[in-house]
Amino acid sequence: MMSNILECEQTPEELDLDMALEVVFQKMSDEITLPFFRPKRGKI
Amino acid sequence: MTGVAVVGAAETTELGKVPGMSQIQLHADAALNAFEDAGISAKDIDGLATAGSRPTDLAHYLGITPTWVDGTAVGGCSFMLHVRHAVAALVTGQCTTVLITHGESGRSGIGRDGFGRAPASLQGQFEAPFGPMGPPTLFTLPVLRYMKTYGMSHEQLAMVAVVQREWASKNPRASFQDLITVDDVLESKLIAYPFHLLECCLVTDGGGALILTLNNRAKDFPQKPVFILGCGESVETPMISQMEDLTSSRAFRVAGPAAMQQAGVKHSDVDHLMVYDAFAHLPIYGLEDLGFCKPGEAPDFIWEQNTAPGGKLPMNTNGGGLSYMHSGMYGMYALQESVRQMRGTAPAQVSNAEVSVCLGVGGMFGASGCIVFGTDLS
Repeated sequence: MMSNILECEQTPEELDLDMALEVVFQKMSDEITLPFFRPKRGKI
Repeated sequence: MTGVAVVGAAETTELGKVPGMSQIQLHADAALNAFEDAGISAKDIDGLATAGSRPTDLAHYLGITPTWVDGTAVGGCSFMLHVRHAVAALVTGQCTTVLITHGESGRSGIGRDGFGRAPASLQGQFEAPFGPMGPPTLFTLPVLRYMKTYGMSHEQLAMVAVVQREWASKNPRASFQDLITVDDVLESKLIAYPFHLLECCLVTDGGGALILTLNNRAKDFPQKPVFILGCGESVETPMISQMEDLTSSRAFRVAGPAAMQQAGVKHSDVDHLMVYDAFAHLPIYGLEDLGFCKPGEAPDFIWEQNTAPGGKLPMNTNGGGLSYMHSGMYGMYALQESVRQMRGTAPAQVSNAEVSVCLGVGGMFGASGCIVFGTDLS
């Protein structure tokens, strides 16, 4: 799926392909909440 | 073979920056040039296909009363699909003489139909909210996966643009003709990682038109006929994130082999290749999905100058979308170059070329059409 990675430097070095992620949901409006991802915290 | 030949082919009088012409004028200019090439007029046309503009607009504007119409619009390869559909129409007697036109005011934006995705479309719902900014960003997804899977280097990607500029340097109509190096490419402005400016297509104005008829009528036309030996087409997905495999195009893998099988040609029979190059990685995918290279081997194949002037598989000999021109739907220009090569009239003519394969892509990797052309019927 297409999404964006949050809480991570937006550089090729930090945005490592196949890195472990976890989902975070962000409320965009009263009706719409979208799934984004951030680097996984803790144990994989 | 299909039983159909190209008997007229032309591009707009001018390519590049043509601010004095609207999009429909570019269609018409290309069509009039193709009529002159074929020694006919609009009244001789009874089949009409176009994309980017409505066939109805073109029929009205050019004064054509068609008995067969095709407005298939699947992006830049739509014209390859039109060729295939025209073959079916001609051999079943739905019409006798087909005009396929393209005109696009891609740079100047004069009289251009709206572009963009409706919010309710699949792409509008599931990709657009996350911020892709058109092809330069969307195409980063497959190329980054390809680079990781096969270890393609930035230098190897840059070499695609270098080789195509070498072809463009032989073409007086090419937008950019000065030779470049791998360093020049890598030092050009970063557009969307890993793409640098010189790895992205041009944005220009122009058009092109083809005229098709049955082989048995081709001798009545003044030009040397170019025979359509085989055709293929397919679509995959409107969302680049949903490709089955980001390192390969399913639409390429369906359309390409279908065309070559119908044509009855082996890879070793192919003298000339066009692979629609909106961005530098597309010829790599095309070479692999058509079976000229094994998966992961096309970057080396290009690096070793096999597709360059003097190489064993001359590819994108007009300079391609990277250096020749790219109005937005480049497929028509790839077809025009294949026809020129088969007529023996290309600026960078491949000597003794008898079979040309022309592979188009549309809507990122959403669609594909492939046409095999030949100088002879077998």
